[in-house]
Amino acid sequence: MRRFFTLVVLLMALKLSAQTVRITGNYNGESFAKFVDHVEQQTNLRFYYPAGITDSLTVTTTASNEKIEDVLNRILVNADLSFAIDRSNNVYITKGRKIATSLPDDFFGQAPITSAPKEQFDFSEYERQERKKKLLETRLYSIGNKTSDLQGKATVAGNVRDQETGEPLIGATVYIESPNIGVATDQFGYYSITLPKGRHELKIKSVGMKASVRQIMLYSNGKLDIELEQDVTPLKEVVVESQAEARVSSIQMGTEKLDIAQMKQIPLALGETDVMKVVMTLPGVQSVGEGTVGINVRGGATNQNLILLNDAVVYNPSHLFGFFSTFNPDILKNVELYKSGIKAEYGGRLSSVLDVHTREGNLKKISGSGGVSPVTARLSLEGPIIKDRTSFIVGGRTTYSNWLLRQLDDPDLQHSKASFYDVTAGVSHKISDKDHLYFSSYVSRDLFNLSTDTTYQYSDRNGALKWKHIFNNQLVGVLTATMSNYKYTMASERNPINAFKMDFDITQLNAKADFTYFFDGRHTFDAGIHTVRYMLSPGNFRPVGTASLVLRDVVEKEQGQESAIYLSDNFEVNPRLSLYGGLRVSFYQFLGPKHVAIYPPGAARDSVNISGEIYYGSGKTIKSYGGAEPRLSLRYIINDDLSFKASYNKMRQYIQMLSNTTAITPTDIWKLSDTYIRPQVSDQFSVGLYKNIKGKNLIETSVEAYYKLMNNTIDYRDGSVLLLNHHLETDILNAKGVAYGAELLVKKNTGKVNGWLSYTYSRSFLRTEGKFSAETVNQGKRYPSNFDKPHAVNFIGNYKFSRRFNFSLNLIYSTGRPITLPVVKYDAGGTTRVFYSERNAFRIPDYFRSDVSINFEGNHKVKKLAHSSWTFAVYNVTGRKNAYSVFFVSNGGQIKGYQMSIFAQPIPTLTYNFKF
Amino acid sequence: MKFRLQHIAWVFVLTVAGCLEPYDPPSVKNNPDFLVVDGFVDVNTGAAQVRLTHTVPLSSTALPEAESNATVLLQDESGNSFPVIHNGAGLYHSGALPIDQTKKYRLYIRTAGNREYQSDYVQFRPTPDIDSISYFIDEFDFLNITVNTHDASGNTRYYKWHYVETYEYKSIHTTGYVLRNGAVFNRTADEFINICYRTDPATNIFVYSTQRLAEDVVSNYTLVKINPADLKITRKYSVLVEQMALSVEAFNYWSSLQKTTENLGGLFDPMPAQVLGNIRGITDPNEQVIGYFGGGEIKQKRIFIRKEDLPEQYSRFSMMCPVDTIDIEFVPSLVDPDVLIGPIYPPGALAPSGYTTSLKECLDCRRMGGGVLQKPSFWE
Repeated sequence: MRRFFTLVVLLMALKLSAQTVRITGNYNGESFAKFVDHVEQQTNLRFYYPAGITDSLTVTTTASNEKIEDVLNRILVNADLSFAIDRSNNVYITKGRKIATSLPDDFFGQAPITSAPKEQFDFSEYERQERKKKLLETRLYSIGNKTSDLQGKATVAGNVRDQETGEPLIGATVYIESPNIGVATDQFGYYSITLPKGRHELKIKSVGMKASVRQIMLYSNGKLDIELEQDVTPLKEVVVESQAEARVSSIQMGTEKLDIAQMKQIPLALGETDVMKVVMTLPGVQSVGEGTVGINVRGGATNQNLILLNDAVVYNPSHLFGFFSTFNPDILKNVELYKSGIKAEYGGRLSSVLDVHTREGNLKKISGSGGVSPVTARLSLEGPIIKDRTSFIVGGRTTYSNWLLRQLDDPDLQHSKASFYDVTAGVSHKISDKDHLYFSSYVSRDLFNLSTDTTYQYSDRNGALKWKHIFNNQLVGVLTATMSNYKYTMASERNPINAFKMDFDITQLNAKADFTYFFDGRHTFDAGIHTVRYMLSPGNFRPVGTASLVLRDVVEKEQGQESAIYLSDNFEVNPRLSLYGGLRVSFYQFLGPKHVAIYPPGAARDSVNISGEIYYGSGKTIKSYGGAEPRLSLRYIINDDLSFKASYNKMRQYIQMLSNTTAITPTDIWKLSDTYIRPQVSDQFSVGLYKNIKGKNLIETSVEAYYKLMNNTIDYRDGSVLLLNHHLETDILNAKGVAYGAELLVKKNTGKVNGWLSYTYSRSFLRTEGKFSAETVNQGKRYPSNFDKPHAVNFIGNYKFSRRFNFSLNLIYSTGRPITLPVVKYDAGGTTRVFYSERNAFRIPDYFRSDVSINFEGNHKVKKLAHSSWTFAVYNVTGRKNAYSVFFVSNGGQIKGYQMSIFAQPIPTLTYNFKF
Repeated sequence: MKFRLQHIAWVFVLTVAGCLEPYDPPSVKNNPDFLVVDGFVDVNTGAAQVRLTHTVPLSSTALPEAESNATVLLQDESGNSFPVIHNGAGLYHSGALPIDQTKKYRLYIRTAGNREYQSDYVQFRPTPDIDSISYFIDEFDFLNITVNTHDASGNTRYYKWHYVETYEYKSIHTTGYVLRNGAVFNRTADEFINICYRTDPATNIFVYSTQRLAEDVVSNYTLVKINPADLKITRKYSVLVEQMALSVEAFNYWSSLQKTTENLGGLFDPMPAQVLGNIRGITDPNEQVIGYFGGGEIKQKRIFIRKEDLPEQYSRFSMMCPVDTIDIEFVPSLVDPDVLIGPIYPPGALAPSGYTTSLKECLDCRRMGGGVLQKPSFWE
């Protein structure tokens, strides 16, 4: 728009008084709205006027360093309009000359407008905000070049931001009701909506924000940025409703979106909001037990989840043996979990995508938050570097568990150490209206040892740089470069003869370009090209000190390249039927330099059968894999409250985590697909019904069912050795997996009582049948996987006593996971030993847990130095001793069975959180 | 080098209110029955010893059922067979056989029910001498008894140990008197019941590999850990360590068995699995047979540790042993003749007014620690 003006506006004086504002410009028949837009952009004046009164007004005038009053007088005199300017540089345009008597009451409040004493406009801050909002909502924005041709459609696009912090709002819905057309903002808060030209009431809703509307007159393609006001009292009705509607109307299925505000209401052990633990309460998500952050989504293994933090891959999301996840709740914005209907832009893992976003930082003022819990302390700070253009956010977290361990009686524990920290930082910079740069980085480190034996350290580091460019209203492109590194070291220096250190290290470099093209109101195309370089050092075992006799053992490095291109179309066939079709084609190369062992044809893959090896030079392709990954979704709205969805996904995974323990451990290793270990492939079909029950408070219900086939999933030989194994193919088996189930959800987001109840039925089986008995598990029969837990019921409930008191209750039930138990005993060498059943032939006892928490917020004065809240939570109120594992030991010739529980008694925690 | 993650997990679990409870497994219907073979050839003596038993349901308290009257043969690669004769109760022995260490041997079994089994061929390997058995006190005050050995040729690499502990201990109180036919006598030297000897073989598996070391050296590998409060080190302690070289296959078997039966269930422990040895069914190749046939040369070394060898005040064994008095008129009618510590004389009296006594387990070392009075022949 601006290019139509050849105009320079000068702000003549710094003293912010309207009388001193002067403008320079040449207007030639522009609409009054355009004139206002322009003046507002260049000065600190704000214009307020009721919709419609300036519709027929055009501006033809020239101003040369003239007072705004003089210019306005000239423009308005013939249109029967008046104006007044207050001390805050608000310009009010009214119809009729007799301003004071002709104004609607709710327009200017009680104060009649005259050109007289400005003090009368001195509203309290709150009233001013309300007034401003009302004015924003009633004002008519004209979009595009004014024309008389209102045939066809045009696109309006822009950013939706938080008015207070200037941060973009992800997933905000922008829609009109008649006809029903709506879009959601992307991860940058950007939206693009194509509407019939003409007058519309644009509605905007976002979680945690007050809903708002904008009156627009759409002439042609144009821009409209929208700022929303924070909803000071969380969970106000209208807010969450927008999400509920989205559940029925969006094409996306098998997706759970969680906002940090929602997560904070769920009581948790150890007093800290934990993304992974909250995700575990969602239908279709399970874990092997309490002390782990590894999630099993719809019968998939823990390594089949793509965990992204601002687009960079996180390899180990756990702290302190898995009792905490590595995401600092203070700087998180939201989390999305895709279980099915995974879009073509995501790839590389079979089961799910967990997309975690941090906030970008307050663009308007410096602020911070933090918290203190029994085990951890955290602090974060954010604010503008250049106001309204550049912002930063940085958050850190650490533990004082070392100190806690020293307070304990047990000498074993006193000599132990366990500590961690993590730091997340981000900078967001607006280069121009069309270009935006984002940088984020994350570092976490854990260190622990028991007594003085072996020390373990691991660290996960990543960084992401994103450049978003808006080509025009319809085409947006994002260039992303990320780096992720995960490494661990274990060391023991107690006995100088055996003193050693062992390292594992994996680095991946990603580059990708993604484009979104909002073709018209019915088609949205996405396309992109991705590439990932993997560099993996599987193990470097070396002596420490001169006395050490340890032999250096380095497992040869591995490298691989994974590339993909994709194209997808989201096609709104008619208001009822929406289709999504995407095709991702991925290609993977396992690259030299590397020696590859050869096994004679017909011989078992056993180290004794290695007949030789082939050397591949640097950059040589050793083995390549690839293929198409179609992604299809369909949504059909049966009626306003009921919709049907279906989807099909094919996924390929070229890197796997190897772990023959029950939980994720710091010594698990990652392995690239190679000559023998083929990439994992899955096909998932799912269908679902979504129904909203409208009443005083909206209740959403859904049922989803899925069937998933997995090929080449990882299974292990009995007694497999994974660390420092130079030919892992001798210990790893390729299995076929099948998983199926159904998920029922009833969710009430509003009212005094809110929460959800979910029931999940899910089964997960493996079949491992090789040519040789050693390569076959359970004689090639189908057997339940480690995380096959058929029934799970989760209840998450909230009761609001008042705006400051809030009570929550969790009830969690699931079938016990499969285990291998001893079936018989025998005597060998004078000692009784046990002989185990077939793999996973039994189950540990069922799991049940209940937690409560009370949240007390400080007073709700909007203006306060610092806001604080206290949370008192009790985890496992009934103190039920849930078995984490069951094991048998032969000690002194006797066989004894034990069950180990992790949180075997109620765990109370008190957490103090603050925000400034 | 041991990756003992399970320990760390335990520590943390306990810190955050974890707990361990006894667990009774669900009863298993139609318990499987497997043949258990425990075969060993001692190269030093040339004696083969085989034990054939059956598995027992986990909940059963019955002794393993023996597989008796089977035909058991030790066969070498050249086709020579040596019978191993049934001695009753499923135990089979051979005389001193001319074992040729350059040859491989296997075990052949035909049960009375005509089912045939045989083991893989096994090579018996020479075992280096034990360099020393030493000990140290670790930072938790546990006495660690360790083994040191090496093989200059670097061929051994895989080791297995077994040990037998013997210790001397003394009852808290000594009964100096014995009751015979209602009369009190001083005990003669061979009548004392205050010093006992107890012998216990190790029940756990100890295997170690020097495969990751530049030299074939085992340095201070801990076999025994003794709590300072243990009765074992109150007077004199001895341990006989037996060392044997293993083949890779034998090492893998014993280390799997050790891991799956002695060390499981922690958060980060490997999942248990069926550990099958080197015995296979001939009649039914799919039949699972438990156990292992192995053999080799056994090297031994014994050390003694006296209480005085350990730091002063190290031994922290204690037991509540209150002393009571029995009036003299009740002494002759005592049922148990071994409860009198010593006489009590009132001032100026010539005859005792009674005898001091204490709990039986404070007086009789056999009751106290389950040992025997007989001093072992090797005792120094």
